[in-house]
Amino acid sequence: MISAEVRLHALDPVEFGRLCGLLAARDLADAGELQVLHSEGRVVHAVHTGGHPVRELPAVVTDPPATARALRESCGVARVVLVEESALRAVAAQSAAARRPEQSQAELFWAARKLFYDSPGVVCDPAPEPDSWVRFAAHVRGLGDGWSVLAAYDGESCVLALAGRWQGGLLVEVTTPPGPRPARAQAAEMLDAAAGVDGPVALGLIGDLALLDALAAAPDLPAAVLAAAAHPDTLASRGLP
Amino acid sequence: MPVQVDRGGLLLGEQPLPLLSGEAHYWRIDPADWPAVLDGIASLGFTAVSTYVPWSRHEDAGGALRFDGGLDVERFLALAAQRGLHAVVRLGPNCGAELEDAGWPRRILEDPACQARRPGGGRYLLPTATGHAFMPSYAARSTLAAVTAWYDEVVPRLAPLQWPDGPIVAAQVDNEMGYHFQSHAFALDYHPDAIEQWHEFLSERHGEIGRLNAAYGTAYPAFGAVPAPGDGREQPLARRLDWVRFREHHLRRSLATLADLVRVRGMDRVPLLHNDFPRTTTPLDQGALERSGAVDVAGGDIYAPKEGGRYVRDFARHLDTSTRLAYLAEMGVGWLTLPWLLPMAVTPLDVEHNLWRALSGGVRAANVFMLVERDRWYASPLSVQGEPRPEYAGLFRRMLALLHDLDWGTLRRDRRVLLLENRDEDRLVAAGALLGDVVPAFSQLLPLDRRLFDDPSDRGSRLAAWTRAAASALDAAGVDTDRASTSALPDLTDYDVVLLPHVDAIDPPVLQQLCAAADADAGVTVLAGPVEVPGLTALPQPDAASLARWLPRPEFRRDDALLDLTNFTGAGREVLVAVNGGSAALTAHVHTDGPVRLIGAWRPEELADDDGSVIMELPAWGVQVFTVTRGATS
Repeated sequence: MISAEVRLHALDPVEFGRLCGLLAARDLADAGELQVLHSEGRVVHAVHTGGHPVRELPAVVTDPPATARALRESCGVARVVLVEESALRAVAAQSAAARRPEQSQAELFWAARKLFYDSPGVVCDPAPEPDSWVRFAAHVRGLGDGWSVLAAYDGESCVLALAGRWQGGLLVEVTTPPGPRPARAQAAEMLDAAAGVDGPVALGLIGDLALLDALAAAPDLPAAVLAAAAHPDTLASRGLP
Repeated sequence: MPVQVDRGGLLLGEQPLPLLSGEAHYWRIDPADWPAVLDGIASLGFTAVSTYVPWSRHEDAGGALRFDGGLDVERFLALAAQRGLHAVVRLGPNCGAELEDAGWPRRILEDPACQARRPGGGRYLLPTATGHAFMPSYAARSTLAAVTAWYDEVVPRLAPLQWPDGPIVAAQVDNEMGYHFQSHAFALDYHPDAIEQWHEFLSERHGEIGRLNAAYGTAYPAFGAVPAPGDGREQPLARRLDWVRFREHHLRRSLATLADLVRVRGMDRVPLLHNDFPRTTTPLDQGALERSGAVDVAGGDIYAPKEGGRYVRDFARHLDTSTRLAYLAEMGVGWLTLPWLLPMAVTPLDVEHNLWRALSGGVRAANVFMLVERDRWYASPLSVQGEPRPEYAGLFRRMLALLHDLDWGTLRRDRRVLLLENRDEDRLVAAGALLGDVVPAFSQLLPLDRRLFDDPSDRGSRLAAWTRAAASALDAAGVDTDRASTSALPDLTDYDVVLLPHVDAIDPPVLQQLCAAADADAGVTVLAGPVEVPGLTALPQPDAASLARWLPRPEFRRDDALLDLTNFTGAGREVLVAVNGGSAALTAHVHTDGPVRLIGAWRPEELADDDGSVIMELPAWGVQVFTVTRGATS
């Protein structure tokens, strides 16, 4: 959903940094997976993504679904992923063969992820959630070409604003919108000419800072954004279900 | 060579030049704004501007190279010279720079003859900043021919601008060459031309095939028949270890090849530089790279928020110990604007903290990346029109003025302890890595933790734990520490204490040097662990108690372990850098021998005491720089 030629320019360093800070904090909230590599049932290596030591690992995996379930209960992780070595090789080869130069980066990642989890040699407990970014990208594509605006208010003042331009479902430009920032009561004007962007705003979300905090903390960020129109800290929105 | 490398920077003839530059990408700036941008850089006190010269931007769709309009790098450099700025040109081919093609023309990336190969022949897919590409092989003759054609055009164009006839005082060869961020020993490069080099390497190393077979327990008829290993379970181990060594050799050989191409085409009056991403273990080796002569300066790049300040300091210490000029080719200021891939918040406090962390680690030359804002970057001190952002620009103006006043290049850290990385152990851990044909560049390509592909044995974790414990104990004791790899040992007699991580591997000549240093007459205590080494002092578990009897007394001692104090001396002066490595303000008692006066040079302050005991206060993540005067305070 992002063009390889995307232009990111004229970003207010304080505001953009604040947004980056919220997103960086998401990485620290890893619930932890236990990933186990086995070769025809014999365990080769295992890693806890949270860096915890791996204990109580069977030497042999005879019934992958049962083993995955048992490990999740005993290790207290969010997910167990059992990966058979030959299946992993096949997935890697399929991913490389399926890659097309014109794919966006996101499409490449989604396709690779799907190939991996669809492989019969990959057993998860619980099964992974569908990638919500795919749904988000489809929703944005359905809105057509135009701008999106994200803005946040701290009390009466707009303290963060970001505008993105979409073309053919791909993000092609991101900038701090140059227009004046209306007072909180007129926040909805950010969705129109007040945003300072040179085109219609098809997708917009404006709320209090608490809204950004909530979105950043949401386990499923794209789903949370799509549901944000109804959030109590949302002041105005456009193009959201 | 008219421009030489000095421990404090560069020498232009006999005149020292502190190499303090800022990165500005001319092709991303409106040429009408070039004068203002360069004025901005000069106004902050930088001595040079640094820029990539990106091949993919200079080559048009028809394959012709253009240097006009916004690509007129010669005009950009001439404008720099008019403002008294010197220049560092980074010639590629690889650039990174958040370009979707990393600086390589798309025709190269999509050419099968140029592409790097996995074991089994697959291509290596790398997500770039905004796209994805199959990355090239540096061994491939096709790649080299294409790069040669690029150098044929760009180097003779820029060579006449070398000092003293122009502003160029250094040139960088390639960028972060390191198997495209793939440290896994068995992922790259298996291009047929790389395999040919592998066989040449084996021939040079073993001399004749019989010796190789004796070492391997094999019966290969010729070096050309020795397969390159692709997984850490393949036997014998000796073959895997040779492959790990080959990967280190291959990087140096590739850089030497590119550097020779650059020098032969006229860029031979200035030092050639290279920069590694911040990794000091195999296949990278900054000390060995410089000693090989492939380039003149082996520098490094570092990007971190303030919470990573000790990591910045330790990388700087490694460069200071291992190279002739501790050079940060990219001292990260700001961050790439791709929060969906690598979000990082950057504030002026992050910048200030980590700049001083780098300097306190011994850095004496640095390039601020990015000094000037551009596409896909934020939090630069200068806007794309050259306007200073006060919260950042003021910091640099002050810092560069202070570094000038302190004559920073003449100062040396007062350090008498050396913490080594054991290259042989490191290679063993690397040789145990799994599934080289599968390991992805990043986990977005395969949703697995990359550690799943690491050596499953506990060797790496034991060594890492020992090293972490040693480093932690040294930090707690307030002892400044050098860092180096056993592959490029510094003069061991410079130290009171040397620490060596060890399980069961150490190169015999290295062991000989360590034992010689540990000899009673040499006066160096060499501590090894977790497993002891005959001839050295055993240290199974480093901690404050076990190390206390050997550690030298720091010149300045403090009662708060979050306060890092680094003492510098040189040219008759003494400077103390104090860094608060924590998120809360601190108040610490600091002691030195005898009366002392500490004059704040970064913030106005004066601390003095006839007994050498002062109280230091620093805000969260705060920094202070003191000039030190010894003697009666009244």
